[in-house]
Amino acid sequence: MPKNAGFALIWNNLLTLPRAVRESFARRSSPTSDRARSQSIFANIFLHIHSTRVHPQALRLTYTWGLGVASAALFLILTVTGVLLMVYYKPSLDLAYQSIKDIHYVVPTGRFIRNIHRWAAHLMVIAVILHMARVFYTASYKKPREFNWVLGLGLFVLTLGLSFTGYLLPWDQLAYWAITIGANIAASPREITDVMGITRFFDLGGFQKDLLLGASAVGQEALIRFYVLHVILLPLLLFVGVSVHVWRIRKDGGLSRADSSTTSAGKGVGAAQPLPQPPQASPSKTYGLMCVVKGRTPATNQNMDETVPSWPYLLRAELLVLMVTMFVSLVLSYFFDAPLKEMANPMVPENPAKAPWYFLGLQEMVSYSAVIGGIVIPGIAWLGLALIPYLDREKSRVGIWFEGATGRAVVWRSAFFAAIAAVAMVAIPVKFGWLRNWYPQISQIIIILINPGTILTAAYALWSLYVLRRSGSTRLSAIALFTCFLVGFVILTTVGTYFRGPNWGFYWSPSDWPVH
Amino acid sequence: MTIPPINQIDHRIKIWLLIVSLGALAALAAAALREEFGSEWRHYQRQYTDILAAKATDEQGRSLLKAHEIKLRQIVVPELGVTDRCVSCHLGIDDPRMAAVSNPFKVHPGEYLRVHPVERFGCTICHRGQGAAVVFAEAKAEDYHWDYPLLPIELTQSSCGLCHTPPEVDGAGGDRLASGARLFEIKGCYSCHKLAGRGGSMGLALDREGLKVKGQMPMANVAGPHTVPEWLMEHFADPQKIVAGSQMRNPGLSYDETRALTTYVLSLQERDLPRSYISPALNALLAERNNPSELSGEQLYNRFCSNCHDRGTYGRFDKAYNKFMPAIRGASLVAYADSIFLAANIRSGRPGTMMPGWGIGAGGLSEAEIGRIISYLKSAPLPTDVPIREMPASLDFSHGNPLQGGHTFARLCVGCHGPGGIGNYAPALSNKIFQTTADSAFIYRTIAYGRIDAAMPAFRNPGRGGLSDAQIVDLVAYVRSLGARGTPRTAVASTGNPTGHKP
Amino acid sequence: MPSRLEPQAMPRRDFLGMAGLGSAGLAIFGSIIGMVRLPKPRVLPEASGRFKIGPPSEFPPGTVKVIPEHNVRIVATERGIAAMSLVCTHLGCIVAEAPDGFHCPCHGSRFDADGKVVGGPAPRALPWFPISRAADGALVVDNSGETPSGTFFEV
Repeated sequence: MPKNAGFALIWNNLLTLPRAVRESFARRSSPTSDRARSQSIFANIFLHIHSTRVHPQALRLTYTWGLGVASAALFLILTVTGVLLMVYYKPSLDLAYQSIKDIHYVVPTGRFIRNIHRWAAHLMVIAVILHMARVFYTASYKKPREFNWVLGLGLFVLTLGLSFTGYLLPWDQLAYWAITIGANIAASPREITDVMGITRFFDLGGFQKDLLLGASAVGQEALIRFYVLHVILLPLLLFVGVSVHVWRIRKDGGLSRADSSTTSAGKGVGAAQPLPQPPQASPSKTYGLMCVVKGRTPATNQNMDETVPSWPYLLRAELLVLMVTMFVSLVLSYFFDAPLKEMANPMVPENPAKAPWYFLGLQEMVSYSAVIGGIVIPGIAWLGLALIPYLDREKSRVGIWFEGATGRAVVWRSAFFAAIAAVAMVAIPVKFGWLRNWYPQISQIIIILINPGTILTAAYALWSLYVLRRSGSTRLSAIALFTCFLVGFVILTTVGTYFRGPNWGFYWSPSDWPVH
Repeated sequence: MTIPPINQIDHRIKIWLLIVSLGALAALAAAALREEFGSEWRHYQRQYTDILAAKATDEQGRSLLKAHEIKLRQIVVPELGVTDRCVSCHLGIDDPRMAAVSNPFKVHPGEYLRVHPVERFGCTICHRGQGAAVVFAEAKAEDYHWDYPLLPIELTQSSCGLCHTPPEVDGAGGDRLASGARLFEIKGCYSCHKLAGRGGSMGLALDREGLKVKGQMPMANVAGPHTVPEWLMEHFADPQKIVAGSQMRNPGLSYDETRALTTYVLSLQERDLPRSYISPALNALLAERNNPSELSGEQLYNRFCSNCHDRGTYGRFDKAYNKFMPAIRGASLVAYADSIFLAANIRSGRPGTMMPGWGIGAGGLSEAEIGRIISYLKSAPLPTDVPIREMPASLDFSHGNPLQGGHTFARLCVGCHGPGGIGNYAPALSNKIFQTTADSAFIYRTIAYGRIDAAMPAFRNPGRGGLSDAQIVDLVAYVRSLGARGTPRTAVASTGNPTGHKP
Repeated sequence: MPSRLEPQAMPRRDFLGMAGLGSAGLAIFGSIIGMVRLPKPRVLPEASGRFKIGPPSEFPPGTVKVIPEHNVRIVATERGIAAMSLVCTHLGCIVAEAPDGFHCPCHGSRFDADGKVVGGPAPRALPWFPISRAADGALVVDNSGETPSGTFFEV
């Protein structure tokens, strides 16, 4: 044995150290073959959430617009910036506002990070809503994706919840009064129990409010509760939910796509039952779960020539979406500072006190009746959306926007109808007043039940029934209903954002607002 | 449906990925550049380096220049809850060489900093403004979301009042505050406004007026910037212009006096500052609160009564309030009313009139102080040319006929005293305090002989109705019947001394 | 040897298994109930709803006084003294006084001078609070209670 063999060995090992570390980390060198590409997805805990191969349609931005990935990317951005903000933020009445001021003025990059957190939160709400619209209009909720649709609706609520709980944390006037309104919406079932005279025995509203605020008014208790919800509970739920959501995409056969582009096995779903293979006695070989799974399996390896490997195509597309969301958040944050008003002051009400923009449609309806506009109508709308895949079971052209020309016509007509109805329901009370102005002695229960919000909801429901009757298609009827709600939401939100001033009065522009 | 070949899709994705990533990189770089080089305070600190260099002519100057580094500076005073970054730009506040340079580098004027070291007090405790900010516009915080914007320099003395009494700083840099405090006294603000529990109740208590924020003031009619100091200034100049229907009298101040009074009112904050910051004089004053220093009857009268009753020797009709203001030091009232009656009226006020209660718990005056006020009321020199008429000895009030009296009342009294004596221009007669404390003799003499120098005529005079004794007795009986509740004082009065000061 | 893929059918009445499963489920359910109870406070961490407003002599008829800390408006008339809440019954904003009563800044509810709803979404009138007298003679307002509109405390 030569004298220096040991040194030569260690020298050689040192030279190949970077490669050895990389290989130990990635478990594989850079893939060159299709097989290796599949392997790299399979073998990585993070990438395995994707299937190894995807259909090219999934990569077309004009089909998905990358909205689902954008929502997830925004959640990632929000988690990262949120954790950074937690380094300085102090959830206490005396310190919260000051700590936000410090983040704004002296924390290195603090102002930028807070801006990103704020705008990314708004963007996430938009992305989630648009994602929902995309999934709906491409009929991607159809069997077997019903459950994922419902799950997505749950994630939508969590997104709003995260945004709402984050709203209080700066402890400024905006936060205080928006949350005061929100908490009282939670308490609004009292309107009903009061009318029934059972509040003393069954105070659902009071229970909800106590649970949310921990006190009878927004204060330290509420701040800490919202903080816990915002930084731990809701993100955790959202994370778990998103994981299941993405996992279900795979298990339900990948992204939905049109018939014309389907594999022979159907809409991306393997109908064939792989034969279970009995394990051999000797454990010389390990088995994937595949061999014991029965029923549907992802059609990853059927019509191989129609699909492309996820690595690198899908991953690159996803990276693009992440970069786009990042770019948009960065640009917004560069030019616009996140709002921060005076410190919360329970003795000085904001006028007008507005909730975050995506709740202004609700606030518009809440301005007719708290319980109906704030709880019943959103609850019915949510339930209606959740039930759509179970009620509309007819075979549809999955993966085609708006179901083709017929559906497009229904969308246009419904949008037109919904817009007219929503504008009318805003304009009539503004111009002529409502029941109480006409019949001052009217009973409270009628005021609660018959208001522009309920009439609008009923009109939308009737419209979708009308479409159902005319077309005989549950899918078209669902399109009509969804379009109505979407357009109604947009119009009411616009009115609440731009045309409501002090005392929730109607003003064409903020320059017409009376000075207080 | 045709899907383009994967290479085409992928190519497009690559291009966009490149563009967007470069864009994101550019945004990050721009943000970093702005933060590192764009900040206002760095700009000022670099300028200050040049100034220091120009002035580094001696050993000390050179060492100061050497010690100067560009970094964020702040003063933290936890006891006062102060974190002030003003010194990041105001770099020369303690450098006497900086007298001639322009702001923000100028030395702090006056002797203030010598007695108030900036490390112990910070800046915003006196100047207000947003200490956390590092941008001047946001530190000044006018038209910015901040409750306490920078005080205009001419009102800054209001902050002296946080730790000092106004007289203490008179002539020591707090002249305007001291003069404001005097105006508060002279203009009779106490008549309607309480401080530390003493004062009238027509207006708001002003103990924390200086801490009010913009949203608590009706700003609609304020012409200048919508800030609390500006509100106060314009309000003192014309109360009704700022608050439509305000009952406040125009104090009639010059511009200088307006500023002084504003300064004083802004100093009213009742803040819980650490004891070590409070001057001995203010400490003594705070300790005295429960045991106010002796004020003479005249001083008390001036402070609490003069705003409505003026000198008190004549009655007058106040157009603003649409009421007769009784001549409480007028000859006839002082002659006819006894101390019990006066004390009760001062102590508990006169419901139905504007006269509030002044006793402990209401206006905050002690019994001794009320006694001194009464002595002062009675000390007014009686006019020698007007006879003070005694009671006819033989009247018996127990047989008055209220029905007859009612007719007389409707004919002669209702115009001023209101139907049923509920009060109109003239005081209410139906109220409980009046009914339980005014004795019948007092009522008789007031009706019969009127009030000298006041609106109440003498109804025995032929020109004013020429009432007979019997008619007046009926009228007294009627007035007595107006008190729905409470025990009339007649019975008590007959045993006492009805005329008070003339035995 | 039975195949791992086709295990033996489960016995129809596996009592022990069912009982174990059932009690585990019950225990988990119970712990969830317990967890839900925690965030609902038994007593609210705040000052008492009763507060003194001063002696009756400070409230001669015609007096109107707003106590901003409690958002209560005290009115004294010939009939007595009454306290009314200024917190909108709709969603808890503070109503502002207007010539014809009170307007809510948040959603435009309108109340007349007695707090009765005359417009907007408010479900009920502004509550009136009971007034009583403390041992030292001061008037006490209890804003945790409620008294019918138009109830004046006679001094």
